[in-house]
Amino acid sequence: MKNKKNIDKKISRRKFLKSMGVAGGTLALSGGTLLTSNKKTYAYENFAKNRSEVYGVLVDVTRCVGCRQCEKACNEWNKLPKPDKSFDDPSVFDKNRRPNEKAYTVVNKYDVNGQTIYRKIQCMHCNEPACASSCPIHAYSKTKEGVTYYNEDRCFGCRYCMTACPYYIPAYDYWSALEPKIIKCTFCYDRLKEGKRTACSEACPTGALTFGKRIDLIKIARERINKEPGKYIDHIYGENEVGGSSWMYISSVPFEKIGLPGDLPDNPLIEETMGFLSAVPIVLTVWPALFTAIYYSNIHRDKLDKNNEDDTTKGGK
Amino acid sequence: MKNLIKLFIVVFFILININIAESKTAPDKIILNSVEKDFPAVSFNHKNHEAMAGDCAVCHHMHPTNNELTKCHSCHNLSNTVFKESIVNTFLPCKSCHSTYNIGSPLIPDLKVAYHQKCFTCHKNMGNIGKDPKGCLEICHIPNKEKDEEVSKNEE
Ligand code: SF4
Ligand code: SF4
Ligand code: SF4
Repeated sequence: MKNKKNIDKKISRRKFLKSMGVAGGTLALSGGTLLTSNKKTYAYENFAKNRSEVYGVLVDVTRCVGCRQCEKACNEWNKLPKPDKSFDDPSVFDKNRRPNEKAYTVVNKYDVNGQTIYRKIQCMHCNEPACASSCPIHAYSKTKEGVTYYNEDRCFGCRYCMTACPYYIPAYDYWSALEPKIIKCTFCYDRLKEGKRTACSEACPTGALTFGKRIDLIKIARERINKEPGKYIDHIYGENEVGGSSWMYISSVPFEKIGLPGDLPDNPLIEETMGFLSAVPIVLTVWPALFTAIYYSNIHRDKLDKNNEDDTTKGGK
Repeated sequence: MKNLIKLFIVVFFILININIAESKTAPDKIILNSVEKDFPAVSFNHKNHEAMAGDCAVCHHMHPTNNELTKCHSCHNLSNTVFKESIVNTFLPCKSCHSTYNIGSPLIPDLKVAYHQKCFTCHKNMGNIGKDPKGCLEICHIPNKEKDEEVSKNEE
């Protein structure tokens, strides 16, 4: 049962902006074309060659008990600031949270048809990440492990990725104005490179987070659904959404009820992002910023690409 | 040839069953302390749970009794030692296989996940577990609980 037939009900932000982009005229469109040309080859180089090595995490929300051990482990591993409320304080569930500069991942609580469902949120590590496609200077790349890697040394703070991401993941660290940086889950790239699983999936006590090869996880997910068809919705969220992602979900309740967008296409958002990008200047009337971006990107991107054969071999964060 | 295999399997199962009968009796209480660093150890009353479950197979891997023959190696091929041990001893401590997580075998959960999956067969939505995370400390990981000195330290 796919839950994306209700498009008529709501026009997504992306579609709205896309149509704005089309209406916005050719000037804007040429900007978008310039920004997106040639980047796929770079950002996807390592990834495309080694698809069978791609890792993933299967999130089975029917198993999650909301203990937030995953959040705690992520915080500790990534040496993030101490949270305002402790990890065993259930009052954090009073309102839904988003990942932010202090937390790469959060667990939210949803009451759906009398069931209490907890869902962990983090970057999905899309196979065809819209954040990477939208980035004018290739601050993002895909590693062969499946990590959507963000390189803060390249980032110049335009924040296009924040608006392009279909899951609203990249957050912005406003506190360091001089060194702007985007904050998002790293997929524990530093651990993956050492052959370890992510800190969150290691900490999860219930098996709600299963780490493994993405292809294995799809099989496991399908088996669980087939074994208990009455319990699960017959859909693996993230298997195909916007081209598929490393993080995938299975659930007993409709995915849009637990905060996952229900109307995403199976195709990558790359083309749509182009339309979207071209709409940004019109919406925000930031023409100077766009032209600076084009100028900056065209001159510096190629230079960066040449200099940094592979930034992904550096650190994980 | 097929009959020979069948005969072999029958003999094999008979031997296994003899083994069950001869195996040492189950412990009354077990201290489960593998996550003691973060959570108080659980004093697990094996005897009570045995009575409630009524069948060891509710928690333990056992040979199927419904004539459904699974391939031996689907469970016993973990390593030579484990194979040998699992033939000689009918019930192994969970941790002998569910110890370190192997990324290549995501179907075999680590120890804490193996335990919790079994516990949650019944304990989810019991007390506060799965509704409000407080339940973990109220029902099983009871803080500062006086540990019964008599109980067996063997984790089953
Ligand atoms: S979830 Fe968003 S930030 Fe993460 S890879 Fe996908 S598009 Fe990029
Ligand atoms: S994969 Fe790593 S960075 Fe991402 S949520 Fe899990 S622990 Fe945090
Ligand atoms: S650690 Fe596992 S069970 Fe606990 S909140 Fe995170 S995903 Fe859910």
